[in-house]
Amino acid sequence: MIALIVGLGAVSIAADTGPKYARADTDGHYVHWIELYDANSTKINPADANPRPYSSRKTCGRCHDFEKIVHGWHFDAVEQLKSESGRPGQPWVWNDPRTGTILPLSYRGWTGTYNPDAVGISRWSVTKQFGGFLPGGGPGSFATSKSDEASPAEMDKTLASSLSKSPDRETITGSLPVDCMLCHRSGGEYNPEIWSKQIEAENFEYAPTVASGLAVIEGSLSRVRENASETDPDDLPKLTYDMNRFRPDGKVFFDIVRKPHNASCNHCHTNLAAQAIDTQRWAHDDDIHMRAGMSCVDCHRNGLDHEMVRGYPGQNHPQPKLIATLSCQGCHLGGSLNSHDANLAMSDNAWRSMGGRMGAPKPLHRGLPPLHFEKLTCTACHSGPLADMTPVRQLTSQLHHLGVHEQRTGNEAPAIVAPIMLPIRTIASHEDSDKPQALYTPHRMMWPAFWGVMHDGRIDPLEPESVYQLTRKTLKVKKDLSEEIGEVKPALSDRKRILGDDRYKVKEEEWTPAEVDAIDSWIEEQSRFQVDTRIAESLDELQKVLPEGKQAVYVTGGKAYRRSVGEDKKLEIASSAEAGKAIEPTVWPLGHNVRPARMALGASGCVECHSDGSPFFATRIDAVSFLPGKENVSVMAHELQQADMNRLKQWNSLFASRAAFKYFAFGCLGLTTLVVLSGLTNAIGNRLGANRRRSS
Amino acid sequence: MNFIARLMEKGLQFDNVIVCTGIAVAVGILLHAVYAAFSSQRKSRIRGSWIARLVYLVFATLVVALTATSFGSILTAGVMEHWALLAHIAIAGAFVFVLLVFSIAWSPLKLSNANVDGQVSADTIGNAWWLSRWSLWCVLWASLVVAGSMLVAMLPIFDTIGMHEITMIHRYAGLVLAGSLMVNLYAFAAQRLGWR
Repeated sequence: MIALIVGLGAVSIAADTGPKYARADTDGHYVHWIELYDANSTKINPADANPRPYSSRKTCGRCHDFEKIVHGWHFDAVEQLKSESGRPGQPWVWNDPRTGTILPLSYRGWTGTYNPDAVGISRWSVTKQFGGFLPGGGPGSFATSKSDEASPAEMDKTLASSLSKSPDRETITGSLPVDCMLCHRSGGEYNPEIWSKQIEAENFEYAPTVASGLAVIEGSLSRVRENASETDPDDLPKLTYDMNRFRPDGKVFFDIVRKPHNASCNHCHTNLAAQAIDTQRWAHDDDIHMRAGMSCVDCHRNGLDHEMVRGYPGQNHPQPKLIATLSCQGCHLGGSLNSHDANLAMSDNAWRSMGGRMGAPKPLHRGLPPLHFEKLTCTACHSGPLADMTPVRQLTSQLHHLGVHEQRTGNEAPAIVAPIMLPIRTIASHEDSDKPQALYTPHRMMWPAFWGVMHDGRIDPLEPESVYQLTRKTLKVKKDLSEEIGEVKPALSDRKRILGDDRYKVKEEEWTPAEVDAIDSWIEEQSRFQVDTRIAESLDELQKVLPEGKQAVYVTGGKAYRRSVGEDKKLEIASSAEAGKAIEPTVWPLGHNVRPARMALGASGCVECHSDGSPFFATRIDAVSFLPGKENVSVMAHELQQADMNRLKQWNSLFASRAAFKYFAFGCLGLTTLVVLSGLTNAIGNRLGANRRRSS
Repeated sequence: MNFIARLMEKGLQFDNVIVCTGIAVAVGILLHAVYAAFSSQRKSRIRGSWIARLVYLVFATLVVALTATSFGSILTAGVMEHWALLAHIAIAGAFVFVLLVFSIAWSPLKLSNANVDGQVSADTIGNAWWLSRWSLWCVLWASLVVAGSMLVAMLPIFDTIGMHEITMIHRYAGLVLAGSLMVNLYAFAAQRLGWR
């Protein structure tokens, strides 16, 4: 009887802990002919009069553990239930050229970024702004939104109430579903550009269906007015499914791959040199790993929990042993001689022996002092554009909407430049840790620009949409602040005053050089005046809604501008003590593209870095400002690195005649060896002689 | 106890090795000094030429400076970097040349020749106390290894693991050099004082 009870208990436990979902577990390609379900779990009939879009949660979630998936790295930026912020990544950047706003945002607490909740940007606005280059979920999962409860220190309650509310059309658009196909697509039916455009059109729920090519859509939820008490059904988008995609049994073929193709990753993760936009794209090389036939997910792997291997050493991952060899160092060297991950229980030798996955060649680094591995990450020498005295401008998918078909010049904001060699920044919460990582790593950099409130030695950004509403009449900008705010054209009366009665009607082409100079200097002066006036007036407008003791400022080009005291509409620059870190550039480390060994930094010798004027330390970075005619901040890399240039110069002097020193030193050492060996042989000989004499 | 516990927990850490070696050499010297002072064995004093003494002084100063910038830095900062590393490398350049002069000035040839004849000469170290002679041998050999290991490391010969190993050789040879020089200085001092 007891045995029976125990037996039944065991069966029961086995049933509880058994796999919840059926699995194919084949290396072969599992073919997905599946039925589509909408958000209400109703099977989709494409012939219905008004069919609903398919829901990935209800469709894919029938066979896959959706709850587990949606807390992975790509979906967990807001709640961070499972993923740890880790090494800073590229922030989301609120880019509004009308107000000259370049505001780095992140829910992950990365240094140099602002939490959208703290700024007062609704999750819905974040989703609309950035969702086109996210795989859904995250900020788009409004059910998990805490924006109303959030009361971060940065956001003053009084201030928040005095500004208009950030748009939140959740009730109209619904949440943004996770779109599995954005990553797991194969073939050419899924179009990520359509995904991006549907989100722009606020057709959140429809985006996966339309992007998959299963249906075409008419209409946009962005046209539905927010205050409409009851939405007219005619205003809602209409889906028309492609009947040819459905089998007679109602199933649809989904061309799915387990390991996403590079193209899928690249929709959101492309980084492109600005020159490539123009004519030189053909001259740019791929990442060396891609050329070797690898794919992104060979290193950046994940399990069902979608916890991505980010690839940097020391990532806090749920399965540290499994990812130990999925960093540059882990794969190429096998374990670390200077491991940052003390949590690994494996012995150093065991770990070391695991290198060489996927045929990774072992770098020898012959003659390279090991100290370099304590100062530099692998990417410092091997990744990103080659270091130059002026960093190159770059475009990225998320920040410049690469992948969306539009005209580009390469000079679009935000101005991202790379590489800047900086010690890796730790996230804010780790800044006080005993041993913050301080390895030099190539970074991307941009200069934030935003309207904010200065108080107590800091600047908190104001909600960008509210800023636009408050300043649009004073800024008088239609599209782009940087182009329009200083735009001045002399009226006929001005020309008369400058050129005189006889010449003011003459065509521009007929002006003398002196007249051109006169007009130009007038334009310059008026432009400066106009910029100051409009910014000052806009600051006045913002000041009206600010509580006592807080000052409106505009941050751009590494400076914070505030209204000067007095009636003149002039600007003055706040001191860095007043502005705090808000005027500093935002930086984040880059990992790709990896260059071949022969193109690594230092491949041609020590003096690539150890010389005065080496780009590693002497790269000059000029801040990019929205305000024409203003002098911007310009910094050298060593200033950002806080490097001791005096010491570096001394170092460099040691490398000036290194080759000659080697000859000299080896000569001295050779002679010394001869002297000592002579002494030794003599000593031995004499000792033997003495013994012989003693015995005879 | 804490120190021993740390050794047990962490294994053989180089900073512990430095401390242990320093303590062992210091204790050895102290014990012998106490013994020699009370036993009052008055023997001959040795005195090298002024050039040899000057070379010895320069050499010893360089070794002290190299020790301070290396082991001192490791013991205080945990690593050898910044100004300490810069100074160490700059001084090391001078060390290589002074080592040659030192090896000639304090030639083991003199040492061995003096031994053969059994003569007691005031200007050689051949008649020196065995501790002086053997510690001098140690100083010379350790110096060769110290300088050689780093010079070889400047050539593109060794890979990363090899570089690490050669760095370890450099460290331990440096430790032997520093310890030997301490003993050698003491041995000469003891003879100057007439303790031996």
